[in-house]
Amino acid sequence: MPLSKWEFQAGGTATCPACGAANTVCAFPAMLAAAGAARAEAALEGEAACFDHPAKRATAACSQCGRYVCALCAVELGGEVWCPNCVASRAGRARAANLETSRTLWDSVAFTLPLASLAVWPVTILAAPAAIAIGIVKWNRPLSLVRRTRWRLAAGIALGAAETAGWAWAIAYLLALPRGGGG
Amino acid sequence: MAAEPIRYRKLPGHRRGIINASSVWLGPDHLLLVKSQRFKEEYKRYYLRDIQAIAVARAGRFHISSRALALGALWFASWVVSLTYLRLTPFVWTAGPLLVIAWLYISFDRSCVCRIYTAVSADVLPSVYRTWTARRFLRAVEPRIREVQGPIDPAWLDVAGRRVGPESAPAPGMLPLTDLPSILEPAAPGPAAATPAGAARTVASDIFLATLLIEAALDAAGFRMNAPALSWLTAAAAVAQIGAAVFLFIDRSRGRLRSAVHKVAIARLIWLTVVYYIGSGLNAITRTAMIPFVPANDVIRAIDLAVSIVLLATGASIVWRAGEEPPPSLLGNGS
Repeated sequence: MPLSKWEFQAGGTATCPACGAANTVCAFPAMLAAAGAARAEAALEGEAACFDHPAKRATAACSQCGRYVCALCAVELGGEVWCPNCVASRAGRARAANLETSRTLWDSVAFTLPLASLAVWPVTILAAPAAIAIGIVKWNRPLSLVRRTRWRLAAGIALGAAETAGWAWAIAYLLALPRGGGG
Repeated sequence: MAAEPIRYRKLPGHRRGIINASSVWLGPDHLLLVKSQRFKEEYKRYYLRDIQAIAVARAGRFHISSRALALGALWFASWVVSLTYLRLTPFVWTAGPLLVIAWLYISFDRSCVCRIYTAVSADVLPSVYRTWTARRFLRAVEPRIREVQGPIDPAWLDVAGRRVGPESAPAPGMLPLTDLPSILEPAAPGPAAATPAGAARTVASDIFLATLLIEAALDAAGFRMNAPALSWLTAAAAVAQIGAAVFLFIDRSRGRLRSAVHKVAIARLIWLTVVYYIGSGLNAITRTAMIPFVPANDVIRAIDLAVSIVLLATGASIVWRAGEEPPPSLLGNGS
């Protein structure tokens, strides 16, 4: 339900006109700037034109490849202007721009695998070595964007190692048992 | 050369479920919404310069967080222990319903939906779903956004205000209001918009108050007679009362009821639970003749009668006062 314009006057509190619920709204100046969205202007004769839109006036040069970009194509990243191609290919310093939208949490996989497999314990014979392998192979892979420590990886490896050791001991014990049926 | 990792600061609010989790973090120039599905995290960035508004709307949220699950597990463990240590039984059976009532109260009355608006999106922030978290979240985020964007021009608000009255041209340098984003567009008039901002009383609130009166009358009658029919009537009134309270909560969460009579219902439900377990405990003690006691039922009945009358008076007063006041619409303030 969109909020009425006049409700923004009331010191952050607005009442929904349909259900009467009291809402708290923090409005910011970007609300006004949105109306003035970027519009590429036509390039006059002799003026620099955008690389991708030859009819549009260039407003900046890509800080990575130097191509001219119009107002529509200019991508602002970290105080610099990039062209869409450089951003898409993550060329040069664009690599530094953190544009990831998802990450697989291998540390959680390594930690959960040996623990969850205990519910069906025979599965641990496969899950424990898998946890160790994942922990070692993915050790240097970036973790979550917001979580820093590697304790889950370490704990996963430790748990996997403990379970693997348990299996090794059990197999060795069974092999060492005196075999019957010899008379 | 490896890029310098961005340092994020965690903002208030964290929604933790069994599988899903969500949180919001503050970066140097953006907010990072993190949605996690156990083995995978998804990120969405809202640059501080692009955020148009953050809106917090009261709404029922019935999320069972991992913290609530932990409390439930703790209660279950206590129940198992109480099978051996019988002295714990009354405490365990009192704590259980109290926990449920507390969860219901928070879910109904202290919950909200927080949305963040940009020019191209209007997304819910799942981690901000309790009102106290929303307040802390806004306190942490608002100054940072204002620092980046500056304050809203008060002249614009004047222009927006004048739109309520007769048509007027925008002030010099101001944008025409028709160009503003959809968040600001007035709602199209429809059947829902014609409804005022909730009524002072609903059928559920009336039934609830009526059951309070009936219970008080039954309690009073109980001093003079001890017929089994009276017990059955009291139980039926209690069931009707609980049902009316549930519908009353629904009315309140959907905005059909604007008076705070739901708080009386919460108090009554808590009292019903307490009185039930106290009564059961005292009856058990009297039956086993551990102490020479006393008409326990009469004592409880007297207290219950007093509580019913107090709650009835409070509820009636709340409804009456809400009926006297105009609906809390800003249009009505003449602004």
